[in-house]
Amino acid sequence: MSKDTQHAALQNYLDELLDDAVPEMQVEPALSRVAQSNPVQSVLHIDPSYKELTAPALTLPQLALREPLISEEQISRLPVSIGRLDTQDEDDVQSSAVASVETEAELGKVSWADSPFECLLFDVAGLALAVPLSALGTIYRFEADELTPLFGQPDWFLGILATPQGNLKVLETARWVMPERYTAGSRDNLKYVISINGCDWGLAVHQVRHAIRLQPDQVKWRTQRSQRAWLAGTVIEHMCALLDLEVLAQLITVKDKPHCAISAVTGKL
Amino acid sequence: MANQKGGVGKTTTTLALAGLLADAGKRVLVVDLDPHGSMTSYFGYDPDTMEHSCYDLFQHSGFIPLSLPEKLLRDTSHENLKLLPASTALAVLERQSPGKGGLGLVITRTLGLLQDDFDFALIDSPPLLGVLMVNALAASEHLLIPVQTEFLALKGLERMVNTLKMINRSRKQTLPYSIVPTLFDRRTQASITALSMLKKQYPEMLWPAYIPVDTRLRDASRAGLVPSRFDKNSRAILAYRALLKHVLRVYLQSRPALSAEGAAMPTVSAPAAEIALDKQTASQ
Repeated sequence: MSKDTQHAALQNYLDELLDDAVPEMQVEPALSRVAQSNPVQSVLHIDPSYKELTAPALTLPQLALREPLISEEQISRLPVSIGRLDTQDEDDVQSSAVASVETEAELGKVSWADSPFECLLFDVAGLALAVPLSALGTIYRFEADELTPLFGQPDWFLGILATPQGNLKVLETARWVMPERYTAGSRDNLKYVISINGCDWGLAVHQVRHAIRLQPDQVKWRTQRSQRAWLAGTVIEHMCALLDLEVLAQLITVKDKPHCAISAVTGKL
Repeated sequence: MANQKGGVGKTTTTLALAGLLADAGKRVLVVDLDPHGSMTSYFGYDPDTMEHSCYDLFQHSGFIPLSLPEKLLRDTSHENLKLLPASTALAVLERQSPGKGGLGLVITRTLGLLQDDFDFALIDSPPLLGVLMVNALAASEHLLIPVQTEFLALKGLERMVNTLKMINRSRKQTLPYSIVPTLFDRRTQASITALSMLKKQYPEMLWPAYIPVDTRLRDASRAGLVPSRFDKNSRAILAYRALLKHVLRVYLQSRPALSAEGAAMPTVSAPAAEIALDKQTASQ
């Protein structure tokens, strides 16, 4: 065997081993197993007792150690450097994700990523995030004293911002996207609120940077999104996380509903 | 830690660095992917009779059951250090599953499932190029190549660097690496010559110091303690402490976009560890 042939064979071997795709057959039987066990529950609710059964079918982590998180400087300043995810929060998000989006398959592909797309880069508590411009509404300046707080809302709800386009509910983005690293200081120095197109929610952010144009292949797309379903992928070149605002909006809405219901009932009483 | 040549100090380097990080209060995971199971034996487990080990991770066609990695974790003699053990069964893995798609990312996925439980993960790779070494390299953010300071080891290094290039091509990502001269014995001409050749051939990737031969490392191994717990002032541990600081620095420099703006960062807390290490050094 010539040296070139050996080299090609070895490269093929490595390419195959490092093929990112997990055979579909590994996912389908697991999903059908869940469906058989309780079809209604598997789609609409996640009973805690079913977590063990459902999670493996839906969870395939990406290169988690390679995902951008938070600056080292900031980590060293945090009272707790690296902590566990709050299980309750994680479970809530996961349940919401499954309840609202129903199945993994619906999350796999994002329509705006078929061709090159523009993204806005911004920072939240040191975490660089990107969102497709197509999903963005307007950017407003954040003024804490102009927000109207509401009683009985979740802790990630900062308040209502009155805008010319109507009332905007402001999400404390840091608390939502990285609850495990959230500190009281994460709320300081918020400067802008970015509204989501077609939704009455806006993201409170610390800094808006600039827009970039991305080719679909510049993004490390997540193929499984049972956890952090709002994270579409990561852009290594810009060391940022790419948000799927459509899914984020769905998740916020689902999580907000119980509180809305409680508020409505309280109001009637 | 990887090198296609055996006996160059991979396991010792893994344990020395892991011990220093664990001493600094970090939650550290060491992954033994070598079928010989040296690291597993180090902590008193027998790789020949291990019922559950990293081998289990490879039995699901690239898919990792959510709770499996945690079940495989074993305690070590250091409270901040956990072990994912090896078993002899790993040696037959290649024959069971030659070149199966996605099987090179089993450890990457495993670490993904454990990421909230640990601050650092160090992987001891086997010396053979195969599914286990590919897994180790694919899961790593920084590669350390320990090289024994002797002529034959230099040839093995060349092979390792070529392998790394091919892995990078497959992964479409460049894995930063540092070459670490080990088992340096300044009394021998062979060590001095090899070190000088390393400096000449790999000026940029070479850690500009060396790990000396130190019998205290062998003593630590016999006691089943991480080297820093056995003798924190031994010559080798002082060298490993310097190496750790170097690696953490290189790790950050390889992400200039992050350092420049202090924006997004990887998961590991390098400077925090460095500060802790400085404090340790100062207190001695």
